[in-house]
Amino acid sequence: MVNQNEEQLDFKFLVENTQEKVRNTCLRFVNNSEDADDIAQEVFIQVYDSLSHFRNESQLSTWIYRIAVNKSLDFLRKKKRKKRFAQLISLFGYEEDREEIDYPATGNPQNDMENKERKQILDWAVDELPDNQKTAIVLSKYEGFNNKEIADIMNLSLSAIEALIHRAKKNLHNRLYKYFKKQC
Amino acid sequence: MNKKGKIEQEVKKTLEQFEKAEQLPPNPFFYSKLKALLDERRKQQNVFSVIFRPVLVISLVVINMGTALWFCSSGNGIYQIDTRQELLKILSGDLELSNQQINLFSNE
Repeated sequence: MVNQNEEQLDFKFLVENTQEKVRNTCLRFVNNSEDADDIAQEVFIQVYDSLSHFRNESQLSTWIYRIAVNKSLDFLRKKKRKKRFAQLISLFGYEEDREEIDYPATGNPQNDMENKERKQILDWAVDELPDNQKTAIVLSKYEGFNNKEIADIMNLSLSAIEALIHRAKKNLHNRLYKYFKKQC
Repeated sequence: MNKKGKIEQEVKKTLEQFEKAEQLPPNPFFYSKLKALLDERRKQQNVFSVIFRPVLVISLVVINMGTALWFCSSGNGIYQIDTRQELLKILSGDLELSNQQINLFSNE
C-alpha cells in the first residue's frame, strides 16, 4: 500500500514536471489546444503503463517526449485519413465541418490578425513537410531542444538531425516563397 | 523594393513566427483528469479480471473437455487391423468390391 502511494507520488511529480513541455510539443504538431491536451493525457497513460519497462538507455524525459512525438504523428495520420474519408463523403453531398484554429491574442488587433495569418501559413508549410523533417524542425524551433536532445528523442545520429533540420529549413523557405509569389 | 526582395521579406516575417509562438497556459486540472482516466481504466480492468477472465478460462476448459470426450467416443469406429486378410475384408466392404476384385488383391 505504501509502495503504491509512493509510486503515485513519483508519477504525480513526473507529470507535473514534464506536462508543460509535453502539452506544448503536442500542440506544435496538432495546432489545437484541446487535441494537444488529449494527446498529452494519452502520453502519460502510456508512460504509466510502461514505466516498469523503461530501461535507462536514455533520459526519462527524452523517452516521454519521444512518446509525445509519436502519439502526435499518429494523431495527424488518423486525422488525414478521416479528412480523406470526409472528402469522399462530401462527394456524395455531405459537408465536412471546418475547424478553426484558435491562437491567443497579444495586443494590437491588426498585428494580431497579421500574426495569426502568418502563423497559419507557417503551420501549413510545416504540415506539408515529411514527418521526420517536421519533427526535427518543431522540436528545434518551437521547443528549443538542442540537436543532441533531438537526436536522442528521434533515435537518430547527430549528423542525421543536422541534415534533417537543414532540409526542413530549405523546404519551408521554398514552400513559403512559392506561396507568396502566387500572392504577389 | 523589387518583387523578389518583397517575397523574401514576407518569407522572413513568416519564419519569425517560430520565435513568437505562444505557450499553452498551465492546466491545473491536468493531473486530476489524468488520474480520473487511470482510475476508470483500472476499474474496467478489474471488471475484466473478476468477471470475464474466469468466464473465459471456464469456457476454454469446457471446450477442451468436450473435444477430448468427442475424440474418445469417436474412437469406436477405428479398427485394429492385424492381418492382410482383415484389411481386405474391411476395404472390400467400404469400396463395395466384388469377389473377383478381392481375389486379385489376395493373390498378390
